[in-house]
Amino acid sequence: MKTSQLKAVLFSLSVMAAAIAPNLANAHESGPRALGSGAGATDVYPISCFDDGNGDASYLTVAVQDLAPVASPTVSIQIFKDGFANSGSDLVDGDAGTSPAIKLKRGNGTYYVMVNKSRGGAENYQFDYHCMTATGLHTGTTESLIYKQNQ
Amino acid sequence: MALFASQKMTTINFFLWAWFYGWANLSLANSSPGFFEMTADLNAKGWQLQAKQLSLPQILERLADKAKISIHYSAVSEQLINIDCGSEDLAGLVKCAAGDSADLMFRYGQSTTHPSEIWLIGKGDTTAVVTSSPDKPIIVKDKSVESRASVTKKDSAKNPEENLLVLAKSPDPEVRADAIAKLSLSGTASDAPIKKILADALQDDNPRVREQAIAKLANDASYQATEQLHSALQDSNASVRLMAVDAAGNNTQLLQQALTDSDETVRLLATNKLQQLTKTTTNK
Repeated sequence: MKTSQLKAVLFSLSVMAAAIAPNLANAHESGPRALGSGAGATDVYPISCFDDGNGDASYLTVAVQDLAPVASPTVSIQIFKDGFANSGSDLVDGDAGTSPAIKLKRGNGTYYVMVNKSRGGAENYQFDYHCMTATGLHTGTTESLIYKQNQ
Repeated sequence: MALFASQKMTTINFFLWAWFYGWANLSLANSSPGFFEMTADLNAKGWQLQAKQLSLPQILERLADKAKISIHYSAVSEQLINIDCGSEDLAGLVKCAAGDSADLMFRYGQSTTHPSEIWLIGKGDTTAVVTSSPDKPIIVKDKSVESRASVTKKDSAKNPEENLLVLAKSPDPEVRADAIAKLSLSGTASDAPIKKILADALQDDNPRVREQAIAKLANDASYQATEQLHSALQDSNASVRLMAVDAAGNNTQLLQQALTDSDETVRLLATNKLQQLTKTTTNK
């Protein structure tokens, strides 16, 4: 194969990869959920990270989006594992933006993600979640979320 | 003469003073507070109570003050006692202090481990109830306390699920809702006792209790809750309808029904979920 042909093939492959990658990045989304009216409403999700062939997980990253309608409570998200935690909030309700992506670096295993809000009043939300390797590759992540709700 | 008189007065004064001093000490001894010490080791999740030469009412008053709760007691003995109690929660501590001398009832607010109010009914005639709280103690005559004498004794150390089933019948709707929510974390909706509790909770007067019941049923893989979800979507309270939509999963019929809900939050959640389902179907 000539160099120019090889370059063309490589270029095509990179374009295809760029087209696929956003889909992979968006592959794990909680789906719209509701936090009920109670001020203490909390949804809890166990999320497992594992080596799916891309390598051991280094960290879990999540970001929450406070969905319309616009309401006064602020929606927040926390990750817990092995006695460590991180948290973030979506400060603007009802827009396309999310909270800053937060991550917790605790390797393979089950992380617990909690979504809650700052005060009473129903809120809708969704969140993204991805298990990543130390080199930034997406790796094994729970596909189907089972959540526990405690209001 | 004057000197003798002076000496006599000094002697009299001495005896008067000695008598007063002795009386004062005797009085202080009779009203001595005894010994009371109560600690809570939050790290070890334990409570300790030691008391010597105090009556149960005196112990309860100090305990109420320390723990910042209200304790009502009636017909309990005034006998001085010594106690040394340890328990993982406040309710257990009070039970230990009361021993077999009284029946107890606990009221829980937001916390299911720390009671906000306690009643002790001595195993004798009930003619008055004394309330001890961080505020001034008051005495009220309340015959109706007798009817509560046999109510629930809580033992948080044994079988948490059984405890939740009891709390799910509490007269306090917040306690009922909390218990139903915690049932989500233990047992399944197909277990007969839980199934009965949840069936009752779906008809509860309080919308928060109904919310929790529908959330539990709909998210329990062992239970088919389609019929209950459709009923919940007709609920008068928007939060209950929201929970029904939240738990609808892939039920597009239910989600489409919710598109015409009177509440904006319910409509938007249904819209978002349908969009998500459409996106998922398209990506396959």
